[in-house]
Amino acid sequence: MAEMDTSSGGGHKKGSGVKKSKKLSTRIDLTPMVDLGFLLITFFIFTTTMSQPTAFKLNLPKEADKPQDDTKIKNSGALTILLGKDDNVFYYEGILDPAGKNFKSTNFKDVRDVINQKKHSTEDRDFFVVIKPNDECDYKNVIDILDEMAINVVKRYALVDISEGENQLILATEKASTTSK
Amino acid sequence: MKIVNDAYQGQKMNLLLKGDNLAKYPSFKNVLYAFKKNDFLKFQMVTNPESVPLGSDLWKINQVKTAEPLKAE
Repeated sequence: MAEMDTSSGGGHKKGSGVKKSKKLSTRIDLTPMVDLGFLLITFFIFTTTMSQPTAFKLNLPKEADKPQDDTKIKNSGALTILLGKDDNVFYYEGILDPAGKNFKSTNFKDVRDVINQKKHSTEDRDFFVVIKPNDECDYKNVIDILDEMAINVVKRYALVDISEGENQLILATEKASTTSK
Repeated sequence: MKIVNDAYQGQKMNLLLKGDNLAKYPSFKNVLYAFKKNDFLKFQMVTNPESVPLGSDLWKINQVKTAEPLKAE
């Protein structure tokens, strides 16, 4: 219990004729506060629900037996997103330029704007996002990019294996950015 | 996957995929490959719930969906 020391310790001697003031008790009873604390704790224990994991559905397409059964997309509507290590994101529109001129670098913060920009500048039926994670990329990055598809309401997207040329381009860009730092 | 398939013979399976954030993509790819090989083309991926970012396309759709029942009333 908290209690204030009210004993006189100032050393002032009170002589005769000095009116003695009446001392009031300053003792604070903390019992109701403790009761209230426990009441609040109990309330939150009963009303709080633990965060439950959710699941999102993923439907894989059947493997096409013949090349003519493959999904065909327009170059102008294609946006290819490449995922590298350390949350690095790269992208290009249409077909990759042999010199890598249209190969751009971004991050998970700005990739939403890239997707949005492409989505709104392309016809809905032509818009297609190709996701190509490389071997260095984390599972979290794949989930994040799939989340971006859901957030931007991208109806057509595919997880595709990365080509050797693209992988080399990612590694070279990552190497260049680490040496420049 | 074959063992699981045999154990659940004739029954509908709900496949849930749960991965560690730091797991590398090839391990996930191999699981997908195993699913595909055994004709499990529908599955769910367990994630942590996050709120829809304000102003995004999904948010706009959700706003319309929530406004529609109110209008009907």
